[in-house]
Amino acid sequence: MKKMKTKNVVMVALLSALYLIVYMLSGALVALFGAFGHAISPGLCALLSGSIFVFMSRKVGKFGQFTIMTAILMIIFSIMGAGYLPWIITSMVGAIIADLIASRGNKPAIWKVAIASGILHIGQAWGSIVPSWFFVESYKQEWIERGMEAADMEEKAAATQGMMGVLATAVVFVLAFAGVYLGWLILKKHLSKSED
Amino acid sequence: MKFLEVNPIVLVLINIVSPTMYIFTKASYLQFFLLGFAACLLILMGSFKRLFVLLGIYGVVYAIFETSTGLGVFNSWTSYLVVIIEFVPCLVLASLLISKYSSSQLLSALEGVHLPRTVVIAATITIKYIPAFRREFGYIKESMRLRGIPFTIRRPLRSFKFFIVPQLFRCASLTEEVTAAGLVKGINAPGRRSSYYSQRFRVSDALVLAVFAGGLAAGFVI
Amino acid sequence: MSDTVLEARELGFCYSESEEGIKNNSFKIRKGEVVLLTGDSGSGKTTLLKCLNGLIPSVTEGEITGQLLVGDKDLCEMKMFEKNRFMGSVFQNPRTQFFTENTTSELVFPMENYGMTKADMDKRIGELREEFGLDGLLDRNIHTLSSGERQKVALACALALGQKLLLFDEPSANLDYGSAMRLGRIIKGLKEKGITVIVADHRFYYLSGITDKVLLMNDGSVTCYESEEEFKNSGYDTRSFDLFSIKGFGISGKEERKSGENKRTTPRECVGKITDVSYKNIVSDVSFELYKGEVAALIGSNGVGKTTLARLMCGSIRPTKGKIKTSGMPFYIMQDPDYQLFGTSAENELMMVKKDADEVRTVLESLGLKDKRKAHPFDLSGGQKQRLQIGMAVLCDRDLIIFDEPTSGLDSKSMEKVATRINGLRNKSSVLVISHDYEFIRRVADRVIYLEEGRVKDDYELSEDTLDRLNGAFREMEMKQTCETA
Repeated sequence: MKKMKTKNVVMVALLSALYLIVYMLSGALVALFGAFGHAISPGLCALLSGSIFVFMSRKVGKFGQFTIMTAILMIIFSIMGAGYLPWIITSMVGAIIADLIASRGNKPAIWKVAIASGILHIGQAWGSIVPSWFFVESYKQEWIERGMEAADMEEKAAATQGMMGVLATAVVFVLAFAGVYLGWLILKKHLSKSED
Repeated sequence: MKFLEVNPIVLVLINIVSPTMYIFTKASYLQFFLLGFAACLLILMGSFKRLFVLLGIYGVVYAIFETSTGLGVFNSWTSYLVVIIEFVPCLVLASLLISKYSSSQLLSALEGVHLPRTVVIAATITIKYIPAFRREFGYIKESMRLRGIPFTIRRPLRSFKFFIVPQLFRCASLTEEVTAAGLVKGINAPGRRSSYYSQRFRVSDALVLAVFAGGLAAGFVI
Repeated sequence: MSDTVLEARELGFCYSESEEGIKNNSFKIRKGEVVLLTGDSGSGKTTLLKCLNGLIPSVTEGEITGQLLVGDKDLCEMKMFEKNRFMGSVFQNPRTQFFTENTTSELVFPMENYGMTKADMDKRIGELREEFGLDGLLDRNIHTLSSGERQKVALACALALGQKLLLFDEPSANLDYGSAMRLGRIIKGLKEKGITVIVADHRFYYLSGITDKVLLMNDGSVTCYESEEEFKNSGYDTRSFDLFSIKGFGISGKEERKSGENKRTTPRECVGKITDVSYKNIVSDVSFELYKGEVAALIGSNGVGKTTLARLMCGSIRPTKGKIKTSGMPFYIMQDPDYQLFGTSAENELMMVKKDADEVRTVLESLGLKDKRKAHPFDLSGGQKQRLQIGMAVLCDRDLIIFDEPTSGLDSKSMEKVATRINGLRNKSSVLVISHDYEFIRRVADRVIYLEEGRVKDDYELSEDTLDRLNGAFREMEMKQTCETA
C-alpha cells in the first residue's frame, strides 16, 4: 500500500470539486422526481460521476482516496449547515469500504472500482434512507392522531421504507456500477497509454 | 443590536445534530423547540431580517398545512409542507452560517475540533475550485461550439464525454501547479496548523449548546 | 564574503525517469542582487529553479548531487518546508497562486501552515501592509482586484514568512508589456529593501538596467555573467533587453518595409466586417474590416476589450450595438489550450478538425510533433500544445482565424516557429492575433489595430514609417500601468 503524497491529496481535492459540481447538477435534476428521486439522487450522481472515479483510481490510486474525498464532501456540507450525523456516518463507512475494495493494489480491475463506487454511493444514500424509516415511524402515530388516514400514511411511508428502501439501494448500486463502466468507456482511449 | 457572538462551530454542530433528533423524539415537540431556539439565537445575534424570514415562512407554511389537514387533504404535497416545517429552522441557521462567516473562518472553526490538517487543506482547495470549475465548464462549452462539436441532448453520451474529459485532465495538470504553489507555502509543514480566524470557545458558546442539549433532552421526557 | 546568501557547489540533478538533468553548477549569489536565470526551453533552467525552491527532490524524483549552501546549511539536506522559510516563490500562473478568495486569508495562509500565533500574524500583516503598500487591499475579494493589485498581494504572500530571497518562475509569461515593466520596477524596489531576487525567464526586457548577475543555462550547465554588460557581450541573443532596438520586419527580420509598398493592387476579399460595435461598457463603437491574406495584430493593455472583441466576432456574445459580419464562423484559438483539447491523442485531435489522415500526418510532421502523434494532448508541454492548436488552424477551412496570445510562455525560438506557422496561414485565411509580444508582432503583423479603453485608437499597415506609432503604443501602455500603480 503506497502512502498518499501531497500531490495525491491535491488531486483528490480538485476531483472533489468536480464531483460536487456533478452532485449539484444531479440534485437539480432529481428535484423533478419528488420523494423517490430524492432517495436515488446519490445514484444519479454516481452515474454521472463514474468517470471521476475511474480517473481517480488511475491517476491517484492510493489507499485513502475515497475516504479523503468523502471527508472533504462531508466537511463542506457540514460548514454549509447541510451535514447531518447519520449521513456523515454511513457515507464515511461506505468510503472506507470502497477504499478497502479498490485502493489497495495498483490499477485495480474496473469491476472493483465499480463495486467501490456502488458501496460509496449506497453509504451516501443510506444517510437519507435509514433515518427516514425512523423519521416516518415517529411521525406516523402523530399524524394518525391528527386525522390522517392510516392507508395514506402507509403509501407515503412506502416511498422510502421497507421494500422501497431496498429497491432504492439496489438502484443506487446499479447506477453507480454502470456509471463507472460508462466512465471507463469514455476514458479508456484517453488512459490507454498509461494502461500499457 | 447584537447581544451574542457565536462560534460557527456551534451552529455547525446544531445543524448536524438537529435533523437526526427527529428519529428519536416526537416531531410535534421538536419542531416547535427548534423554531423557538433558532428564533432566540437570531434575536441574540441581531439577525432580525432572518428572524422575519423564518417566522414568515414558518407561519405561512404552517397555516397552509393546518388548513389542508383540517380539510382532510393528505398527499405528497402536505408531506412536503411537513418537511419544510421541520427543517426551516436548520435552513435559516445554515444561511446565517454561509453569509456571516467566510470559508476560511468556517474551516478554522473545524480545526478547533482537531480535524487532520491534510483534510482541512484539501477542503480549502476544493472550496476554491468549485466556482472556478463552474466557470471553466462555460469555457469548454463555448470552445466545443467553436470547434463545431455542439453540446446537444440528442447525443448525450458524446456531449457528456467532451464535457467531462477536458475537465478531468485539467484537474491533472492543475494538480502540479497547485501542489507546487502549496508546498512553497508550507502546506506539508509538520506540527499543528494555527488559524487566524479561530475563535475561542467561550462560556456563551457553551451556554448556547447547553440550552440546545437541554431542549433535546426534554424531548425524550415529554 | 559573508554577504553570500546562496552558493551552489557542483550542483547537479538527474531525473529518475529520463536522461535529462543538470550537472556541475557552481555559482554564488549575494545579498540584494537581482539574478536573471535564463536559457532556451530544455536547457535545464526549470530544473535548476526547482532545485532552488525545493520542488526537487520533494516532488520530482531523482538524484541530487553537490551542495546548495545558505550560510553553513545545505539546502539539499533540508525538507521543503524548512527551505521555504528562507525563500519565497512566485509561479507563472496567477490563477493557481491563491488558495482562498480573500486577500487577508491568503496572506495568513502560509503563516497558518507554519503554526504562527494570531498575535504574530497580526504583527506580520502590519509589516507587510507597510512594506508592500497594501492599504485598502486587505480583507478584499481577490476577484475584485486589478491585475497590479493582485500582483502586489501575490508578492506579499510569497514573502509572508519574512523571507529575504525571492524566486520568480517565468513571471512575464502572463503579463502584457506594461505589467511586465511594472514588475521590473517592483523587483527594483525589492532589491532596494535588501531582498535578493532570482528571476527565471526567457524574456527579460523588464529587467534591463537592474540585473546584477545572469545565469545562462545551456545543456544542463550554467555560465555565470557578473553583470548585464558582460551578458550582452556574450554573443547570446540578448536583443530582448531592448525591445525597440529590433530591426526589420517579417519572419526573417530582414524585410524592410516602406509605406505603400505592400498596398495590393488586386481587390482583397473581405472576410470580416465590424461596424460600430459596442458591448456593455467594455467595447464602444469599434469598426474595422479584415481581409484574406492579411495578418492583423490587435494590441492594447490587459482588460481593454481585446478578448471581448474576439468573442463578439465568434458570436459567443452579442453586441449591444452595431453589426458584425463574418464569412462563416471564425476559428478562435483561446489563450489557454486546456479548454479546447478534446481528443484522445494529438493525431485524433487534428482528425477531429479534418478527416484526412495524410494531411494530418503532414501537418504533424511540419509542426515537429510526429513523435508525439500518439501522445495524449494533455501530456504535451505548453509549447507543444500551442503547436497542436496551430495545427488545428492549419487544417480548418475557415476564412478567419483568431489567435489569443499564441506566444505567451514561449521562448524566442519557439516564438519564431509559431510566427512562421502563423505567417503560412495568410495564404488561405485572414488572421487576427491578439498579442502583447512586441517581437512576435514585428515578425508576423502586416497591420496593427490598437485598442484603448474599448475604442480603436489607431489602425495602420505596419512599416518603417508607422513603426513609431507601434513603439509609441507600447510606451503608452507602460505609462498607463505606471499611473495605475501610483
